[in-house]
Amino acid sequence: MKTLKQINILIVLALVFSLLIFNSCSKERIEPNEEEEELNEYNTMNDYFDAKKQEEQEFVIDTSGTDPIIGNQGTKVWPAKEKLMFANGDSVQWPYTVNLIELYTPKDMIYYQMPTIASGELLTTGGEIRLRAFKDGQELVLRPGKTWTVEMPNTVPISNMEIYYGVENTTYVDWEANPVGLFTTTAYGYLGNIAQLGWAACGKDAGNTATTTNYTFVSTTDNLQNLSIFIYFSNLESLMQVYDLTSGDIPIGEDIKIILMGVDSSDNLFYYFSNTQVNSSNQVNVALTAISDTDLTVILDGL
Amino acid sequence: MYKIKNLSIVTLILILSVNLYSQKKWGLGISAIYNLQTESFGAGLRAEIPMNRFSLVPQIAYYPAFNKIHEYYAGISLHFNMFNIKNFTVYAIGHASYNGWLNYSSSAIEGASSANIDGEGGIGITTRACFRPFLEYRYNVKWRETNLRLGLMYFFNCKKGKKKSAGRKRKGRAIRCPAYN
Repeated sequence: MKTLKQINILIVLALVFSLLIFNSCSKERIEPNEEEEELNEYNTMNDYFDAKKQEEQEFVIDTSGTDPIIGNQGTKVWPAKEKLMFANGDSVQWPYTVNLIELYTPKDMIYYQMPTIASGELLTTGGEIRLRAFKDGQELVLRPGKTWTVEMPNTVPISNMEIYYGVENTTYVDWEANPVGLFTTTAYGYLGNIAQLGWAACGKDAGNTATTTNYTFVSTTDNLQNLSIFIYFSNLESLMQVYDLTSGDIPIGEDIKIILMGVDSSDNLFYYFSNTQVNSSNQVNVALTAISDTDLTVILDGL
Repeated sequence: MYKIKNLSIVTLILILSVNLYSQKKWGLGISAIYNLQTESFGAGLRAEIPMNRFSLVPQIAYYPAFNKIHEYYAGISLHFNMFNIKNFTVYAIGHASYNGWLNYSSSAIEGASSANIDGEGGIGITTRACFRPFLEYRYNVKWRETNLRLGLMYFFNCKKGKKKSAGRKRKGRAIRCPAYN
């Protein structure tokens, strides 16, 4: 009996001793990776985008005529002096200038950071333009109820496209179909009457009815804070920009192309690209790799 | 789906093993678990089949997603009753289990995997009644983590302890035999 008791005490001692030895406990599973503290840092892509984006074209209008001015991407504009005025209502005399920016491809929209989102909803886009008029350095506006006719090129125009106007806020340009106007389809593309100068887009609600999710972008290797992040919906022909690392509502099951871009302190380009489908998970773990300007341009051309 | 299947298999084994011993004393219990290193709370379900001083204890444990570590365990323990102190029994624990680590991808551990085999050693204390609260302190050799388990077992086919005085109780004072007055 005494021996059994001694054995038990020995077992307890052995157990306690082995627990003490083994008890070099570890928090390894919940500790952040040391590399996380040395994430790759990036600058914004603003300078790169500015160097690549479509130039604003300037047309001097010094006489009346019936022919349109035509932008280098094919946008036709029929300017009319009598429909213009200064902000205080004064009439405009010749010459005056018309400024035009044309964005017809996802690449050009990315360079200009002009996604096609209207109050959080995806828009199928037929292109975006910025049309402005100036006289002696002052920006002109259209007289109330007056319009300028524009025609936007498209080889396969879609019916029922609406005229959207860009409303600038501190972060981005939102799109509003106000005042309401429709584009008609022509052999050339889309023909519409624009009631406001500034940003205008040809688009319509992408009509998504699928359940949506939101993607949050994370990385164990890169600081994503300054990156430019875009999601292109290839079937819907719609572009979303991601702000603060979390996307807007994106429809589950939709084909998407995700691209993240950044530039390091030595002006080397870095990117992450994924051609995938939206799934219900809400986190996208990314790691950026270096890329040349040429190769990045090829990717953006292929969106 | 694969993970749910694993858990289902272990639960089935747990129930079957209990059925095999349905005529003998066996226990079923639940526990609350706290992992001191991952600061995670979990819940456990176990059966216990006593065999002399040993017990076989198939069990599952689940740490929900609100924890830093989201995982489950399915395995079996061997308990060895070492000694009794008054109404308590102190036992040693040896344990082997399959560990499904569900959020392993967010871990910084190189080569972290969803499927792991773990071993644990520990010590526990319980009572010897039909309802047995128990407290265990266990060390996970693979993860080098300790956990505390506080639970309650109920033993079926359990014979309650014999009363100290069997038969009819005497009431009142003892009657003196007149012969000795």
